[in-house]
Amino acid sequence: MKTATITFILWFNYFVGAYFGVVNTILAFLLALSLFAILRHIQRIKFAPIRDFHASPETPPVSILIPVHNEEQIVLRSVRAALAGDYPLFEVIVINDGSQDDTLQMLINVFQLKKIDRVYRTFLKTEAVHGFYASKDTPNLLVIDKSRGGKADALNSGINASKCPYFCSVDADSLLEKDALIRIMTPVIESSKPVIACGGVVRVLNGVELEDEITIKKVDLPRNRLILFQIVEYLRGFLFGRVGWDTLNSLLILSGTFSLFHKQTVIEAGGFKVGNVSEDMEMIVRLHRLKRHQKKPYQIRFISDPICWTEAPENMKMLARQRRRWHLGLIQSISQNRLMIFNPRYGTIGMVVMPYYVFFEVIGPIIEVVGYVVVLLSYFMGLLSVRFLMLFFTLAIFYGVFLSTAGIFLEEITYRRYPRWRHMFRLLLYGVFENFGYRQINSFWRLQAVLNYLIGRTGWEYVQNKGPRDKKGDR
Amino acid sequence: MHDNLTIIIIVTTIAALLFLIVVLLIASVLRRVLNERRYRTLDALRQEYRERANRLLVKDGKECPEPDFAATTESLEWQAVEEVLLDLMNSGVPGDELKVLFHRLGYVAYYENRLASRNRLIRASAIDKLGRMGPQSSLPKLLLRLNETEPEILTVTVRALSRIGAKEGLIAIVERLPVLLGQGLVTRKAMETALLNFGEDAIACLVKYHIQDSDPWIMSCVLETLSHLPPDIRSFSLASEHLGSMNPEVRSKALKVIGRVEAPLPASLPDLILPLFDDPVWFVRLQAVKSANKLDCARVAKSIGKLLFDKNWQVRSAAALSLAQLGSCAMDVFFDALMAEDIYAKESICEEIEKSGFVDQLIEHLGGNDETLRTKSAAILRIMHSLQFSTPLLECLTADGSVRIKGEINKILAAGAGQ
Repeated sequence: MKTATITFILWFNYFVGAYFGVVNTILAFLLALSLFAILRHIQRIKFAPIRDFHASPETPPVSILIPVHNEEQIVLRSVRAALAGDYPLFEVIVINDGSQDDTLQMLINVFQLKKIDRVYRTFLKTEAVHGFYASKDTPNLLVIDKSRGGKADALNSGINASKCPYFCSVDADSLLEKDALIRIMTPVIESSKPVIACGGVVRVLNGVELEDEITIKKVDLPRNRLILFQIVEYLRGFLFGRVGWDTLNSLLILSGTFSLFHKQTVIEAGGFKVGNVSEDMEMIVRLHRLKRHQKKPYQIRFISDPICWTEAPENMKMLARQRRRWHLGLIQSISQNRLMIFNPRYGTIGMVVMPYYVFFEVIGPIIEVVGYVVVLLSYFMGLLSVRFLMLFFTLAIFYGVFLSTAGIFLEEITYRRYPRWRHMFRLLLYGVFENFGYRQINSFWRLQAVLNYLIGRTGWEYVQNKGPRDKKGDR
Repeated sequence: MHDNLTIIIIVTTIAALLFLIVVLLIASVLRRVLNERRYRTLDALRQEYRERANRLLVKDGKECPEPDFAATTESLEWQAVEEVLLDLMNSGVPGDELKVLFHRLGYVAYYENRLASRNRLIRASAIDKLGRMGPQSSLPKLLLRLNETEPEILTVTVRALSRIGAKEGLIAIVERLPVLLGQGLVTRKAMETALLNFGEDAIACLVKYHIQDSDPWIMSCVLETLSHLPPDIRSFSLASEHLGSMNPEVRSKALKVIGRVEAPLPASLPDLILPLFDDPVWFVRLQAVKSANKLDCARVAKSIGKLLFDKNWQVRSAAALSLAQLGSCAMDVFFDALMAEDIYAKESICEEIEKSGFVDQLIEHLGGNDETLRTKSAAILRIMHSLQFSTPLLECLTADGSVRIKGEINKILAAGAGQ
């Protein structure tokens, strides 16, 4: 028995070493790709015809869909920011998904909405719609009041009411930059291949100073340490993770906080799947599946210059909920589309991207947490020397620091939204600190999500945002 | 042996990572230091030159005081002067003097030289700068850029030429339309926007151009541009000629131009637009409805009424909106349409009646003395109520207003309840 355990531990150690090597090689490859892609993109957008698109009456109209549920504290800000966008023709559709607070009444009062009758075609089946509200003063704003059905159901309802060929999903706790819509539409207009979805960068709003409630006046870093860790994570995730996959035309995740979709394709795919806790990723996987089945050319893009600012959870409880939900959503999306894994019919997505997500994203936290336990066990059983143990941990930490530093470096040479010296050094410092506890606890939450999935606990974990902040960005 | 090798690999990897981290750190810090120093100096220089420019050019109105702005090429002073003068140009200081100044200070020659660079971005930047400085003398060199194949260079060149605004630029763009439009949608959009910058001058050039080419792709671009320029009889004539085009895109754009015609309306206008209500392509019918908004109600209402039952929802909605805008004279058409069986069409009509505010007129008629109008309005409102479009009626009941109207509304609601 003891021999078997020792053999298992030894082999598991080798496996962890190899696994670690493969993951980090892939990440390094993505980083290298992103570096070239971002620098090229930055140079290109200097002369990009954004102004021409803005002036052109033929730039496709877009519906901005904002699902809201009990968001009375923040809904006005996101709606105002969306309405203030620079875009030739767009409508803002707010979907009140069975709020029990004053969200709807607040919208009615502030925008002087009146109940209207409207033709509502159920291309996608949703929970009952109780009414539509509009105002003559803000003709491009529509509010839909419906029974609670979740975010996916609310988005489907918005799609049914949308009269534009494209829609952009935006979270209620988010703030679109004025030119975000025209920038995110640029690949759609420029590309010769139909772009059926496109994602932009999501940045952390906490700590940002706002002017007239909706314009970014000054970007600062908040005092909250948890937020600082998340800022480093977002920089890493958006500036090299997604850009890297985009260059391979193999994106599997676009953030539901800020993504653009071709409406008809989403309807053909059956709309957002109700019951999934991460409707955004599931939709992207299904879009790949649909288009590969149809054997039609398509692109799903991610670009790094359209920006949407969003609230990040400020305490461990909410962050844990968010991370569990994200990981559970990933598992659901992969499992519901498991036929695609190693299926040559789906090309790179089936043969490379889906297996990558299964082996390194879904299973990753299990191996990481079990790895910590086994490595410690190996040490206590005398199978691993202290020197080796320390070296291995040092390597893991250095690699983590390297990836964070690379993310911050990409930000420095491109958009540089954190302009002060102390911003840069604090972010670099938190890129180091996150390897001591934050990363491990994240793995633990993701492991919890795996266990929740296995025992069938797949409900939506609600993340509460506290509300608007003062002028200096603090609450 | 094996363990030692593993340890060596790990240590080497750690050393390599450490090296990379340090390199990234140093690169970030150095970049910041250099940029900070550069921009601090540049800010001070901008301030200094701005004050000098305001004093000499704006207040004293001196003629081209180039020694006050002379700087070594590519130095920070050079960059600051350029930015300050370009800002002045944008802020409305007479441009001719500044154009001469750019010339004398060597900027024009400098950027003209850079047009020959092999680097696409350097070329694009030079074209953009020349476009903003507006020197007529650079036109021949800029026009050569139109022969390039890179969409980015082409769009920047077209934009630069449109800023300079010279007729040669306009003619060169129009002559190269087939090549330029073949570069894709981005260049096409840039083209349409840039041509608008030439203003009314572009009309004659575009209208003349059509004689030489009948490619539908180009013609639709020409017509689209004309539809955004001020209404003109030459545009109208060109559009009229293309209403019978085989290409639906061209027919639709031609209708768009025709719809912008201003009073006095040509007598032939209804005969040009109304036949296209039966066009087999939906977006042509849609444009026809939109272009018919200036026609006489009596002549057009029934024809638009037929489109209330079009198989395409956008056409149905546009037809309903158009009728609603025609007002009371279209009431019979609405009534007939609402008596039909197509529930989708009826719902679209009701929605447009509400959206356009025509419903308020209908409610108003309920309190009026014109018996015919009152009866017809009540009938339409009754049908709307039966289709669940009752919100304006209910709101009217709760608001302050005529007792007579409220009484009529109660009758309508009661009739609906009884159905």
